[in-house]
Amino acid sequence: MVDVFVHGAAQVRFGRTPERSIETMGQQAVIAALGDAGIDKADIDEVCCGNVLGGMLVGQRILRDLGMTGIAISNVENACSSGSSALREGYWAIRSGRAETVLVIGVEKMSVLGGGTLPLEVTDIEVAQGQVMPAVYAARARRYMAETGATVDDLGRVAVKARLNGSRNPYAHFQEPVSFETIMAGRMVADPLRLNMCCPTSDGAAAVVLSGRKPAYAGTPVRLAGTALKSGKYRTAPHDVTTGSLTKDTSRIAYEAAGIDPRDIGLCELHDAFAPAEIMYYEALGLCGRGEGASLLRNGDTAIDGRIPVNPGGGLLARGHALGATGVAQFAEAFDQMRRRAGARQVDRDVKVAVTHCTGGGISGVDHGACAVTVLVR
Amino acid sequence: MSNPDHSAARKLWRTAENGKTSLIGRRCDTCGKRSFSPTIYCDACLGESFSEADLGSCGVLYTFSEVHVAPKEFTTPYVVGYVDFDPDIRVFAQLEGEAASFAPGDSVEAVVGEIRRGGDGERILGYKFRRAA
Repeated sequence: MVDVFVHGAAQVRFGRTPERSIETMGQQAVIAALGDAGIDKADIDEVCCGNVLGGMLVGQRILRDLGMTGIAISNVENACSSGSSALREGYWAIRSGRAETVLVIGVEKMSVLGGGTLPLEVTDIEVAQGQVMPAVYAARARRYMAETGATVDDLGRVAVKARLNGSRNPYAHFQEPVSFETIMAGRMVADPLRLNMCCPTSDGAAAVVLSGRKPAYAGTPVRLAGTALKSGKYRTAPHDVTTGSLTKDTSRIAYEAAGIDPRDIGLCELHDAFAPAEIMYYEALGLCGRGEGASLLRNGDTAIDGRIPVNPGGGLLARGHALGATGVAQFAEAFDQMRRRAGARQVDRDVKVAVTHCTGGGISGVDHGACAVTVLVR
Repeated sequence: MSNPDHSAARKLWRTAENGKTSLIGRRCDTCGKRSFSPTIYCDACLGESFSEADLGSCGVLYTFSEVHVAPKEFTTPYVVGYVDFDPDIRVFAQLEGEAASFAPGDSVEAVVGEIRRGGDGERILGYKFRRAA
């Protein structure tokens, strides 16, 4: 089967911007990604577009006014993993041989919802009892802390790192660093999670150009070397919610497909919708062992200048969370870092293997609706 | 929440004359799997026929959180948690009592109380848990 090369990527700034339409954000991302790739719009064989809230035919609505019509366009919805699921579709479009060059778009306009917590399915038995997404993570965090000795201060440290990285990222929703003291004095959302330990809901877009042809840029080409997608298993019996088993299982499929070992990972963009998730997913993704997540963070190993930088773009906590756009923006960030063109947030290390990870979607009994992982190798 | 209460499809709790509230699960007539969710099919064998299974009043608190931001139907703050009925059932519900009074591993018992308000401000009751006496 053919290799899948990453030719270009672009992000549009995330933020709370009711004045920007889905179509406009998407078009800006597409034009920038095509420009970055040096690929003519006529060379795109197929398009996969990740989005949740935009209604029907978001991909077609973005592409019509760019004259990119008459090709296969599929719209992908998988909650927080919509963008990374679209990347997987694009990967397989090329691997299967049905397309040579594919455009993947992620776009979301969260500001249509107003504020507050993400609305969940009201017919769900847990939602009827008062379940909200922050409480899902807060309850996991409480159990995780009780079992491992991680502390609420560690959750604050995650947020400090995210906001520091975001302050160096021109695409981030939040571009100001926030002190530990401010974070720990913030408004409580779901105990122990305070406001800055929860990601903002954002508007934004990103796009990526993938192709079976080798890219024109100098240096070793970056490949999308493996992807995986899994839905959470429905479990009605008591089970451990602190190990991120869905993330663990999904990531291992992607690692195997890419032929890598977790020890090879030089950079990771993971789904820190809430601060405790970052520490728990360090472990689930194999960056460290069980119970070692908090010390990995405290040691500075996951800082921009650390051994395995995690979320150098600020993560969901600072770049923001624009459901369908998030997975594609993570991928664009990883690509920029591997190409060493990430500006003030450029990591020190030369990254040969990067992993992006999305997981989300709250329905009762499953730890997440969908988890998707991609592996980039150069 | 404008939709009718999903849990109304099947009675999920019962309060005995002595005041004890117990949760009502069900057992699949085909494969025997116990569950609490009011779904049409058994998720193990796709059976459609069930018999009542009394889960009792007492469970063990797995973990919990106090919620401060929620849809307007809910009065904040309120405490939610997962309660395990050994060995095969986990129930998500609100907890009565101060968040600081709970810890993972606590024994809790079922009670009936207000879950949220309906569209006309009416109290919607349901199963909750409090620390076992």
